[in-house]
Amino acid sequence: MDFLMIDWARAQFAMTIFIHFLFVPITLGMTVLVAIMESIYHKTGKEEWKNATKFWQLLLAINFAIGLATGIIHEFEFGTNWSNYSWVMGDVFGAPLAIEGIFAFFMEASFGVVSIFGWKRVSKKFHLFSTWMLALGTNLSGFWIIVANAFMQHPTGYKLNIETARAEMTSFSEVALQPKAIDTFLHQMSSAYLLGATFMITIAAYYLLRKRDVVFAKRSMAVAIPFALINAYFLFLVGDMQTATVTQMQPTKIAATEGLFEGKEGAPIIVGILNPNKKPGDGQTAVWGIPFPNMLSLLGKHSMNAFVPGIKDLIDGNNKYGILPASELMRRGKIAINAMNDYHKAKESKNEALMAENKKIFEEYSKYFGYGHLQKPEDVIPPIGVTFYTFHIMVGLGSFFMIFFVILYVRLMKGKIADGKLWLKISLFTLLMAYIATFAGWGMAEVGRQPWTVFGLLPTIKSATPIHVTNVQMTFFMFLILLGTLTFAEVKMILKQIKLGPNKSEH
Amino acid sequence: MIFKKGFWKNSTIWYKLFLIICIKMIFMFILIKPLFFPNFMKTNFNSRDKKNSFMIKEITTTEDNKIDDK
Ligand code: HEM
Ligand code: HEM
Repeated sequence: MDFLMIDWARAQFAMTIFIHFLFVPITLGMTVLVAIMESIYHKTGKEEWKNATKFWQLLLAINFAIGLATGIIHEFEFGTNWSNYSWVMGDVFGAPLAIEGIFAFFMEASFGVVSIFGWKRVSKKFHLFSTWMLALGTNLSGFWIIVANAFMQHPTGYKLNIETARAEMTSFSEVALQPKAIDTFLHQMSSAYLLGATFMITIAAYYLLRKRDVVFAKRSMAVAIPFALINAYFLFLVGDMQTATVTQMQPTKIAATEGLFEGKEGAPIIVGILNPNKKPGDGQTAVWGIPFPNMLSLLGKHSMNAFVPGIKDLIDGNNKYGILPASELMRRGKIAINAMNDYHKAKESKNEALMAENKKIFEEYSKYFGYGHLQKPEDVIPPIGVTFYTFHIMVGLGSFFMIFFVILYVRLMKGKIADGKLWLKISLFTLLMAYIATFAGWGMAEVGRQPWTVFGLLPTIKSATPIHVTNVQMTFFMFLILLGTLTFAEVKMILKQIKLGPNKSEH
Repeated sequence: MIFKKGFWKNSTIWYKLFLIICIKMIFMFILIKPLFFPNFMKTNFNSRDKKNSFMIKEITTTEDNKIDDK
């Protein structure tokens, strides 16, 4: 297969998902925030709350309409660029996505229309109910895609079928409710809530700095700041849970993330800069910075002195802790691959004894299947620099949010949110910071998953379609222009409505 | 109608959004999907068996296809 094809397919997927994800967290966060606002209107009966709800709903609708159809592109891409992946994952990926399609889509479509156009047509109670159902439906959409993603990070509840080379689901609940899926869902949702809240905070801060639409801006801050604060702390808590799941399920990812080249008992977390010349086992310092002793062992394994394997252990193996060298995993993977191959040859020649023999070998070794496709032991380690820095940027911004939103909250409680230019000016940048943290988080999760698309089962190099590169190249640029234009249109339309403001816009 | 002068400027934001969605859907499903994104497996193989044997071959082909005995 043309190696370039896979590079283009990856670049295309990265670019289109990047754009999908400009819209998604705003939708996820704002549907909930709008529902909270409407609930306040419902309770107080005050027009100013209704006005605020409707203005934010308008911005949400623009985001939704422009973002719509940026997701479907990925399904096109699966069929054309990623046919091996789609084949192997089909059984597992199909079920969650089908549920999403039917269930969440209908909830979103029907309740969305009522929530947007039904203000004068349905009762106040039913309207509020619809707004909440829209939020729920949108969030459920997110759940199923996260379930599929969690399977890719940590495949479970499946069996690789020797007849078809497909991962077949053996337990739906194991796939849908595995800890990896739950953690990721909670972290993903709260990061979207935080981002939605910063969308409000940024715009409200703009009004307050301009001293216009002050009542509206204050009301918006009163909803968004506590919401942002709660989610900032929740993100930290769930993030710690995730550190444990990643350490246990994807040791190669955590080793890269923490720049842990040699495994240790009582492994630290070091906040700092990665030594770019460091090689496993060369005795050089890996990370220059401030160490938090025993932290990684504690967070990752819930014990101060637990052993966390480093990059060297994962490549060369470590007898003492029962870690197999990558070359051995590769050898076993090749046995599984050959057994599958020989099984089908035996089937052609109708040699049942040989079929049974190979099936037995396959069943013993199939969990190493993907390793048989790797070319060298070092391939098991993801790109270290990207994984390390994206993780530290996310946690750094997360820590900033945990402090900054306390300050904003105190100012809100003291009734001082409208003054204090410095705080408002910093608030203007919170949306950008939340986007950076979100993309850094995904960057770490997905780049850190490499070399796999499905961890241990299917390497990225084996996932693409054996087709020529020109088609992917062309569609890459086509989408770049098309999606770039859509994003530009969104920004323009939203900016126009913000300039008009809650009292003059067309909500 | 869309090309009348001032049409875009004079229509409400809701109508604009509705139009954007419709145009995009048509574009995606009538142009982009059939022209640029044929389903590789569906277009190349017409039966499940053929798909299956193609995939088995694809998935069991490695760089060397030999067990490393070292
Ligand atoms: C391979 C990855 C993905 C695929 C195939 C996919 C597919 C889709 C599709 C088909 C839609 C319907 C509307 C549209 O075409 O835009 C959609 C919308 C949506 N997706 Fe994705 N998606 C992916 C990644 C994600 C992720 C990681 C999330 C995060 C939780 C997410 C959350 C949503 C939400 C909330 C919507 C509805 C709201 C909106 O369009 O703004 N998606 N997606
Ligand atoms: C403050 C402390 C935080 C910690 C300890 C933390 C921890 C983590 C961990 C361990 C992962 C890894 C998941 C994986 O590879 O499977 C992750 C992913 C992610 N993080 Fe954070 N995070 C924090 C803050 C944030 C913030 C502030 C945001 C965004 C506003 C964010 C957004 C994300 C996203 C979008 C992902 C990818 C989805 C996922 O795997 O959950 N995180 N985070």
